[in-house]
Amino acid sequence: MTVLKVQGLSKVYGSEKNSAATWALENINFEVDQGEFLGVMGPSGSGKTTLLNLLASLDKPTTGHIEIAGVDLSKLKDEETAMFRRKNIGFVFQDFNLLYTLSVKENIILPLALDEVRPSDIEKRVSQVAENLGITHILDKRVFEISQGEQQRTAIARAIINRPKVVLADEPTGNLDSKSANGVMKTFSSLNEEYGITILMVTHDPFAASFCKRILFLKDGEIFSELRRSDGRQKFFQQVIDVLSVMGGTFDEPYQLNL
Amino acid sequence: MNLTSLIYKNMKGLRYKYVTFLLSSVFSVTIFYLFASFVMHPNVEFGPSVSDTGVQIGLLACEIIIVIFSFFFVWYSSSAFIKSRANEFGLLSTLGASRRQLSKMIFTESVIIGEIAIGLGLLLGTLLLRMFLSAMSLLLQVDSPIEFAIVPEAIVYTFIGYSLLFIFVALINVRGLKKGQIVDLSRQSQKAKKPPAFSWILGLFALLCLSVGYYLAWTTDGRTVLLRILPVIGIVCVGTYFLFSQVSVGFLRSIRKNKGVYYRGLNLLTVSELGFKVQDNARVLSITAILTAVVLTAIGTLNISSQTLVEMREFDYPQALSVTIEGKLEPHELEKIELALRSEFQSDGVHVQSGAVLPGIMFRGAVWDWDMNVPIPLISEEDFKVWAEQSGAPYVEDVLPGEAVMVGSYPWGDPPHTLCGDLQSRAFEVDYELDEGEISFVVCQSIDVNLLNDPYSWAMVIDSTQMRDLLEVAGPRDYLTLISFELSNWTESSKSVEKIRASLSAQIEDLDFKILDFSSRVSAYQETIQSRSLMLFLAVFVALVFSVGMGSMLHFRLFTDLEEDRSRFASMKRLGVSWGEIKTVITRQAALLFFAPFALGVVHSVFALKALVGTLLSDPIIAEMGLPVLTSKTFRYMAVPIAIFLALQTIYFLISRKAYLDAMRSSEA
Repeated sequence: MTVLKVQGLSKVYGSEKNSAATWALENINFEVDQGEFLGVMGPSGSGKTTLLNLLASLDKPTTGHIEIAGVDLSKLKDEETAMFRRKNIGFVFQDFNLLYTLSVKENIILPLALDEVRPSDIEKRVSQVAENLGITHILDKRVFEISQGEQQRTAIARAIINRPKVVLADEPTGNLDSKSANGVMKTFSSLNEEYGITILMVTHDPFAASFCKRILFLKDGEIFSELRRSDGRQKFFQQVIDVLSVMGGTFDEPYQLNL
Repeated sequence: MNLTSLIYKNMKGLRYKYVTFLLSSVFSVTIFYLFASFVMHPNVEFGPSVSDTGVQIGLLACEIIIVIFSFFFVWYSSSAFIKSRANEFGLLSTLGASRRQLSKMIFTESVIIGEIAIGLGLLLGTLLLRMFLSAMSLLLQVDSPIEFAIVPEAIVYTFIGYSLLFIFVALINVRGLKKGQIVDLSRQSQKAKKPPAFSWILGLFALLCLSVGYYLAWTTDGRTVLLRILPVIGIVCVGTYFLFSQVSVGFLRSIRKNKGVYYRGLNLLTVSELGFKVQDNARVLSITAILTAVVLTAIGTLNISSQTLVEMREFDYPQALSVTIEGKLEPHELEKIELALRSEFQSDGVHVQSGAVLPGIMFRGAVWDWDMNVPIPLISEEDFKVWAEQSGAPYVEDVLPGEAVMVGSYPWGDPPHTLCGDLQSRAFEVDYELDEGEISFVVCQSIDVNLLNDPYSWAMVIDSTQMRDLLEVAGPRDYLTLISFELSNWTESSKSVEKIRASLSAQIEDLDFKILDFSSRVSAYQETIQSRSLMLFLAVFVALVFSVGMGSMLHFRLFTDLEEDRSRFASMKRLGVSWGEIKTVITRQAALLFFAPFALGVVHSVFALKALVGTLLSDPIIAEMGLPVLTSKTFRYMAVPIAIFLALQTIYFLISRKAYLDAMRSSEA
């Protein structure tokens, strides 16, 4: 079943007629099926962030359509967009985006509380999710009392507690040391494999990308190539590196190789 | 681009922040100027209204309060203004602006804004003065206490004073701008913020302070007031502070424990946000609560005393209109006069409750008020019966010849002791001189009746037959006519009373008779009100100053957190919290900031006024006057100032909320 469908997606910054206009994305087409773990890679300026903003409906495309769970995002009104996002998309950000005024548990349950889910159900779901992610022991702590890896896992818990159709992750390992990054990626991987959660992750980190099942490579706003994982992760990692070296271009942040 | 054009561009680009600062400066200038032009007004300086020293001390106190308040207010708002632009200064200094240049820029800006504020303030003040005076005379139904005039001295004082003030404050701000601070201020203080601390002991201590303070205030009377007043104020201030810094946090915690409420919709966000904010804001919140209480108490006190005056007038003047005429009026003349009065009142829309004309005679002799030297009139039993029926007074039982029943009222509640001693224990005798010989009556009874206004507030009711005999021997100047009217809306009767005074005196003069006394409650009332209007004027003034000041203080307080809130609300937005929901959370927070201290201030002032009433009632004279109204109506008198304050606070709240949301929204785009 297709969860996310992108058709002829283009985004132009500045006026189209203007010669200074920048095509951040040009005629992008792809689909994500239920239970997939898709990575989107590309050097800086390749349009990764633009793509994610469009998918998250934080920005509007110039042309083309995005369908999530069969709903065309362009047909939603402003207030509906927020609701739709809350119900159908889970987000994981590079900077975790946790609210420090809330405890770990409160951060996780925020989407449920906003949807007025019954408190007893909230309790049930939060303990289940926390157990799955191994963060039960930090539930009552404050955000600044836990490690960055734990913060990101908290953010993942928040992203999945609402049982979204798809989880969008934006450089989830970008702010983490290698050990935490490894832990977070393993978490994503097991969520995908054991619970069949659909994930779309944008990253420039080949190590993180090697956990995906499929990777789209973006270059200058267009899909450059696509890679499917068939063998082990080590081999897949090598394949990713190969594609990247063919693509060239600079990566905005220096990445660590976790071999 | 040189410094001047940078300043100009700044002002254009940051319109919103500048306008906020400018407006609060304008307010402060306006208030000072209004007050100054009032104090230095020729009518006030030389007029009779400022004769008592109490008013002069009051004026001075107000002036000092306004000066101190505007100094701190301008200081506070300008430093908040500077702080809110820390990012901008940080950016400029990273771009290579030296500290000297920044200082010069800030100084020039402050002075320019200050001078603009002075100009606008003077203009606005003049307009307001005009409106204020008209409103005063309309509200109090008297001629304006002073005429409208532009007072040059006031302009000069305001101009010089505020120019100095703005320069001084600008210098303080520039001095405070240390090199390291710029960088420090510009850094996003998104660091780990500690959750609000809560101590049970301090929380209980706050509640204890407030309950002890309230209890002491509630039970205060005249004997204890001096001993209690300062400790109570101290205890309540401490209690207020800890209430906001501790009890509020404890309360929010208990909500957090109640999952059914806490996990419902926006409560999660609102309550957790408040938990962090309420402790930060504890100082501002408690200051605002106490200021609100002070102002409401002051206005309430004034309001009570002026309302009490109305009650006292009703007491001093048992009849709304009372006239005593010397000379023998025929029955048809009496009837004509009564009808004329009634139609006069009716045509002016004044409602007559009762009105009566009572003939009597007055010989020299028994006098109760030695100062006035007015003898007590004699009235026949049958005439009194008619009068009593018309005016709804109690009827006098059969009076035997040689006896008399004393009827009337004494403003202070007692029959004239000078004359009769203690009527309860024994009867006494009164003597009148006739042309030939003397006549005596034994006063066996005294009945409380609202007869006429002082000095004709008493009369002797005697046997009708004996009265007829006395009429035979009375000379033409011994005859009296007593006219009394009670009006239901007597406070509005001043016009008709004046007309009646003119027409009646003409009529009586035609008959060659004399009006011995013409007294109306409304004229006495208006004299008092007019002299009180000055005090009321001042009270409204000081209240306005405080109210504007508090509103702006809260406004700035709200905006101090703007940057921090912005990033937090941006986070929420990314999670799919809609703008409408963010708006709700912000509105709830702002509402708490504006209305929680107000509510507490109202409660404080209720207890303060209870203490005042307790003190007043323990005063023997006031207690004897009876004023039961004081207890029953006190809090009703408070309703008007509270409502006005609430309205002002609501306006500030709406303005601040709108401005805040706009600022929040503009950052999104």
